Amino acid sequence: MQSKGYIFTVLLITVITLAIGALLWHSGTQRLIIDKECDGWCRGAEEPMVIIDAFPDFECQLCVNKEKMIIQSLDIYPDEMRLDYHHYPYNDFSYTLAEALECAGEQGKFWELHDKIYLEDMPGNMSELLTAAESVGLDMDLFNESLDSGKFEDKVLAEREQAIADGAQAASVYINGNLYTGPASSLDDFCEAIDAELEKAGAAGGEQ
Amino acid sequence: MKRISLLMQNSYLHLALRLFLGATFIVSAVAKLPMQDRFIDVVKDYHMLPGFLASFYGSVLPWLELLLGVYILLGMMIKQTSFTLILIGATFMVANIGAIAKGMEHCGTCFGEAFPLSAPVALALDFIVIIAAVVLLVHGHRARKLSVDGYFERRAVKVESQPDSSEGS
Repeated sequence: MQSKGYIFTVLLITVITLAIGALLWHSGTQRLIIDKECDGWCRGAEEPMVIIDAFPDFECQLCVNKEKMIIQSLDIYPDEMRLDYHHYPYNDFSYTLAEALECAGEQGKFWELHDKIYLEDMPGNMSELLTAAESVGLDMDLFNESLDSGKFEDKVLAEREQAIADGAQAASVYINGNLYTGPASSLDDFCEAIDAELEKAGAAGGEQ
Repeated sequence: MKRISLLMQNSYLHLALRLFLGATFIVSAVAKLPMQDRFIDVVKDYHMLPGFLASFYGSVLPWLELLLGVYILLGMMIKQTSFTLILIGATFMVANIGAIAKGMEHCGTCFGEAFPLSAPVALALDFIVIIAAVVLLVHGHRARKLSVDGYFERRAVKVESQPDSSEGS
């Protein structure tokens, strides 16, 4: 039989621990404040009703699935939806891939390389990355020079820091600022979430 | 063999194991709680549990990790906590073996992005966690150094050994 003091101590520590847990949990459930103006890599409708903010990491399979789903949904909602892509790498080679996308962007082929690696083959090393870059028609001399110089290193790091400061979760997707929590490989569920946002936007438009 | 047996009974080893298990589970919970939605997403994506069970497991696990991590660190209900940690460690092992079998290289959610682990390292860590928890389960009655359980036990013994003042009056 445990003493009253022991039971009280266990209960007290449990309550304090759960309270700290609740604070931690709440810190991650905040809504993302979205930027309506595109100031990075964006794609889709010029005046979108739905803005998708993606913070993928290349080495996370879940992110690859989500990115594929987003690319497919861009074809379904060409006039309603815009994708705002944010660099959020957290593994070594992911930083290189993020910089590689910027180098491709310098030659006007950001989305070509993006689609190549997300939709077809995710490069796992430098030689696979160079093959992917070559296959989208990049000037390889210029690409190698840009990548080797590390000129986009700061940009990628700054974007990652900004994402963290904005409260974005790693490897997450937000639909109009709301964290998408549906399955990463179900286009139907994703479209349902977009439709719900479109309905909200439509209702708001109707009230004006 | 005798040396190992003596080592297993060493109270400093038990304290070290408690600190290791406590720190591991607390860090794991702290990494998961702010991104719990993503963690649930990951559990669903493993396709090892039916949808509602995956959601339940993903929702409950970080809280359980936090509580059990604090309990074992402070030395509360050591045997019961160790037993539960073994069960949790076993689920981690199954998940990581499944991940490796599917060709996944990283355990992105073990400790969140704070400490990205490769799947084999995560599997090795699960194994160490289970071993540590088994040692505490078997020798839990001795793992009393700097623990809440030990403090209350000593206090109870002290109270019992004191002469009852009411008898003398």
